[in-house]
Amino acid sequence: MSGSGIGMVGRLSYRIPSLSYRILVGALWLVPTVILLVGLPAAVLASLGSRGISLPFSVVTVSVFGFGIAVLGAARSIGKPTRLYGPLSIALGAVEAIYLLVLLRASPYVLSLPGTGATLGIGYASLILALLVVPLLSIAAGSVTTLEDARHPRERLPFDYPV
Amino acid sequence: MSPYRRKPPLYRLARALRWAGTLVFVLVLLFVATALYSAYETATSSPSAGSFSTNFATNDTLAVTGQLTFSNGGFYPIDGFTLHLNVRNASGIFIGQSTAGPVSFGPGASQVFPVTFFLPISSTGPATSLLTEDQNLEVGVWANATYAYLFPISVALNESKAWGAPFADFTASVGTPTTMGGSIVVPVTVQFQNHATFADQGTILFTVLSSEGATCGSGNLAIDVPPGSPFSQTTDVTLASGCSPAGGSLETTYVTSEGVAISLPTEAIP
Repeated sequence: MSGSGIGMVGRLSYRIPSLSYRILVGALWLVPTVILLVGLPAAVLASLGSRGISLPFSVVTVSVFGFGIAVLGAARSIGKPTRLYGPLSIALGAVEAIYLLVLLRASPYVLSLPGTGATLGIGYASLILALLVVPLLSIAAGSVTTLEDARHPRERLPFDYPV
Repeated sequence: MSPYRRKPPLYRLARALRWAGTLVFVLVLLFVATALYSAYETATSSPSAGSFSTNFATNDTLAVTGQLTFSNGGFYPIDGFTLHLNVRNASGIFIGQSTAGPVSFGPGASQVFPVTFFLPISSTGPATSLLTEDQNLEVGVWANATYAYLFPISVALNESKAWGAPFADFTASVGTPTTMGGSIVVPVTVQFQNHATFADQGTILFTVLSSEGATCGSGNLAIDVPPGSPFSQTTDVTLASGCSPAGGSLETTYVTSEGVAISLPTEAIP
């Protein structure tokens, strides 16, 4: 369950794309996710910082977690036909959850509005808690897939890669 | 259909969990996007302040009254909106506050908050007298609410406001006694400038006291001093027989046209 090519489970056959093809797809997927999770937030942070508005998370934090999530997402995509898919899904969900918890610690965010002497406080803890459901579901799905791969290797391949 | 073509239970469970995660993520994103747009709409329908008026009130206080109007131009409710204002003088001494709420108002609704401050004007209080001394007052505004069910928001603002005293540079003095028709008469002079935004209308009552506190004489002056105008007037007071004002004091009281009595600073007589 780790290579590529054609196989059969019961009466169902499957065709796994080659590793080089999966790496190419993963790399192509990596580009937009890095832009979305690293480039865009870093640009927003830098832009706000130049206007005297500081946010409670640094460019380094955003870049590390954003890059980690993008790389794990690409690795999960490459490893989908392998037994690593479940553990990689768990790892991805865990990193996303930790990232959200880091953001949660900065709530409420208090912003000093430049030139006005006014401060604006915004709490977003409830939003983060609602978003935490997403990586928790990802971890649960990864756990189920890990269990499935352990009990019935290759069982899911005809459905993920039908001929 | 062959049992081999049916998707395995664990596969279906994992797939359902992934779909559920995606659905939650999309719904949260949609909610955040609409909340941001709604917040922008609310922010652009900025609060408006009605005209504030200042009047003398009982217990040596000034009542500053007015109203603030907030509109919710968005499409999510504002819950638990509370507005708190406090006033401190330039030394940081707290002199008054006003609180409104908590109230909730739905999408498209407006809420009018009546605001009333009672500021002490007594010259014997802890703060510099608002009655006789111009000063800068620090007005602190603090508001909080929960927006769109999930977002607690607070706004704090401090602003310095110039205060013009209605009896700025107030002095009341007793002149040299003279004999007039067998009675002893002293001239009493009252001077001040009205730096306030409202007129001083009413009567100034004054009492000349001896050093033992006995009343030597009294009188009054009718006043109608518009904002920004000075006042200076002298009137003669006939002293009671055998009563000397030397070393005593001159007590003055301002009685507004509405009948509210305000104590003005007592002046010592040399």
